[in-house]
Amino acid sequence: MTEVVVIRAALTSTEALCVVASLTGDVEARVEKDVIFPYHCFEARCAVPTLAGRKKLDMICLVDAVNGIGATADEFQLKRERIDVEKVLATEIDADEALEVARSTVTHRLGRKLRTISSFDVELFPRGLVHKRFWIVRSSEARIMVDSTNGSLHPLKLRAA
Amino acid sequence: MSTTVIFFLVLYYVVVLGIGYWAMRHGGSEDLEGYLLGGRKVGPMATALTLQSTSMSGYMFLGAGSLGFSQGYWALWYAAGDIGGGVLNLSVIGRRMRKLSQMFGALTSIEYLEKRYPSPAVRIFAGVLTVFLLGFYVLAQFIAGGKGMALVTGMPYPVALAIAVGIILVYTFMGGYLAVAYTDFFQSLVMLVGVMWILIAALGELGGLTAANNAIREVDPTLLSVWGKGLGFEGQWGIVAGALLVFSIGYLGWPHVVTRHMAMSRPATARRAGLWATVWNLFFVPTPYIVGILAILILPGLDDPEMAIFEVAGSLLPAAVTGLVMAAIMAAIMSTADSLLLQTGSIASRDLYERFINPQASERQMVMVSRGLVLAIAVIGYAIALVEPPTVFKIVIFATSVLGSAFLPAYFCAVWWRRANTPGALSSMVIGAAMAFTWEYAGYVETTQIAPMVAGVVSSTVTMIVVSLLTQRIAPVPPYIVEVMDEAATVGPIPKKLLAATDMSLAPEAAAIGAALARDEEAGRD
Amino acid sequence: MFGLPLETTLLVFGFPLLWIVYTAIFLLVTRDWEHDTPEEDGR
Repeated sequence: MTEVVVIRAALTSTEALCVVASLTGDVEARVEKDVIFPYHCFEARCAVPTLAGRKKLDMICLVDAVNGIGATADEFQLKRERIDVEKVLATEIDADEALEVARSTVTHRLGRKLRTISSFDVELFPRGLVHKRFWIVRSSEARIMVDSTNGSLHPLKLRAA
Repeated sequence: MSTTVIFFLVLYYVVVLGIGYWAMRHGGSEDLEGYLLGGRKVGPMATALTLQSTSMSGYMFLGAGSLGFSQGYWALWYAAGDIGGGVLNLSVIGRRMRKLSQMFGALTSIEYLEKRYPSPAVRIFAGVLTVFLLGFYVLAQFIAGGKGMALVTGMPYPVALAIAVGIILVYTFMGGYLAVAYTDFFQSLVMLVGVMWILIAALGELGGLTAANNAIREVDPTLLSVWGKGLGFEGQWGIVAGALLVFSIGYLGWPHVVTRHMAMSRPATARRAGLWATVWNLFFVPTPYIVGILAILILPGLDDPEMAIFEVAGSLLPAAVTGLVMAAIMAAIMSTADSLLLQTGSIASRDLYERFINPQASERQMVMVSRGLVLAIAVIGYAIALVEPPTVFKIVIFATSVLGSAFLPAYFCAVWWRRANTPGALSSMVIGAAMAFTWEYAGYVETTQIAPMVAGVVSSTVTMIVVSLLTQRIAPVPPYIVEVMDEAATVGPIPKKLLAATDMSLAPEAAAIGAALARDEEAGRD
Repeated sequence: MFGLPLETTLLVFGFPLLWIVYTAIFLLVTRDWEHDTPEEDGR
């Protein structure tokens, strides 16, 4: 067992099951297990140019610690949990690589949304690893993962890497 | 143009800036965050409207109008393909490209190409070609903005051009919150109403479409034919094919179109976007061509065909409406120019400078590179637009043809053909671009009666297939890419409803978890 | 129609009709793509 920081879930395993069951109509669907997915968490402080001067803006950027893909994220709450180590996916991306990805992601996103060529004075503060719980639901021959923080789902293909 | 027009034009900008400023002062930072991070407050129609309105640009107002005025109903061959371009691209490529780009972690279209066809050469060629051709497209917007500004304000063209370019630069360097969702929406709405008003006013002036066509028949019956003035294009199916292709599939070569596809998170978004694209295009694609055709009757003495739509607006609309509509049109042109310059700057700084010249580049350095290139384009563009401006129509068709010829097979095969490899893609890009370019400049269009777009796309497609097959052994597609393509393809047997509910942004996590579970099961079996 | 020769009428109305049909087919084939969560693109 190990202690990790987990993003507080919005869905229990039962709720995840309901989401899938309602979509597939499969009453035999069941939650097989849960998987804990690691992300490098960064706090980004930026200064964004607007008509009323530069406005400060804070945001969170999570970098997927297995694939190295970054995304800005909504506010979330964290809690510490004791987890079975085997449930946690191994981290492949180290913090330095993740920092670069985070910087790219934030700058790119701001540039696209604000449609301006300007420096956003992005400062990134590493906040360590956080984890998301994904419920794995088995339904009529298919396996589906459900994001416990927002109920998003994605079918799974099991293939040897 | 009268002072009333100018007054309302200025009033329009004051209102838009006012909305932007007020939104910033009174909107809390949650608003800004919401806009930047989620855009969740913007409904699907507003999103669709703003997506489609970026296609309203110098081409629409100057290029399309001029073609209608000069060649009559021949012009509608270009509209014919354009109407379906949106839904066609979304239906054939949309969802898979989104997944693929997500799994590669690609943020730009050029990065996406390099990830799918790993090779620095792909990035360099694609990056340089795109920047070069985007520069052309920006030039078209400069000319449109300058001419429009000159017409409205009565200033001499060099001055008006300088003002237009200046405003575009300000927009691009300091755009900031001008791009706030509601001002985009407001602008689109004004333009929508304005364009329709112009059409209806023109038809009203001429007593309806049938009466107008009868009157055109008196002027020159060949203008009503599908072969152009004096039946100049009769039987030239190679040119017709080019006209049909250029805005149906050709514009997939444009990075801002590709990035739009890359940004969708749910299949439902692609579906809705396809519907909106067709609805919007049905009304707004043919309209400028038709107004250009009607201008033959309304402004028979017009010496610059590119001014057809503006002059029709000026002569038929109440001065206040002309002012507002001209303002919205100018805003659209400048907004398009701004988007293009942003793309150019981004490709130059991220895809070329940071990738090849200075991997440790700081944000400030990249901003400097972006701005430097934008300034260079502005200066060179101003010079060309001043001294020897080509027509907007020619520029846009040329640029779209070269880009479409270069990138079409690469993007299509990226999602649909597992054997499309790096040598195939690279050679198809080079040959497609070279062919379209040469076809235009060596004058083969006249001798073969085949459009550069057709020659380009055919040669790049053939090249992709032949080279990929010939080099399969020495340069196979890396297995991890084939896996990613498999992931991006439909995962079955999955119930359709489930598929529809899939959040495509979770694709990378799904791949990792799928692999981990597979490993566990293998281990469990052993 | 509208005082236009046949070929032109086909060009002006034929292609739009084609695209309307194409879009309708697209919407029909993908009718299961709709999902009740009206979340917009976040990225």
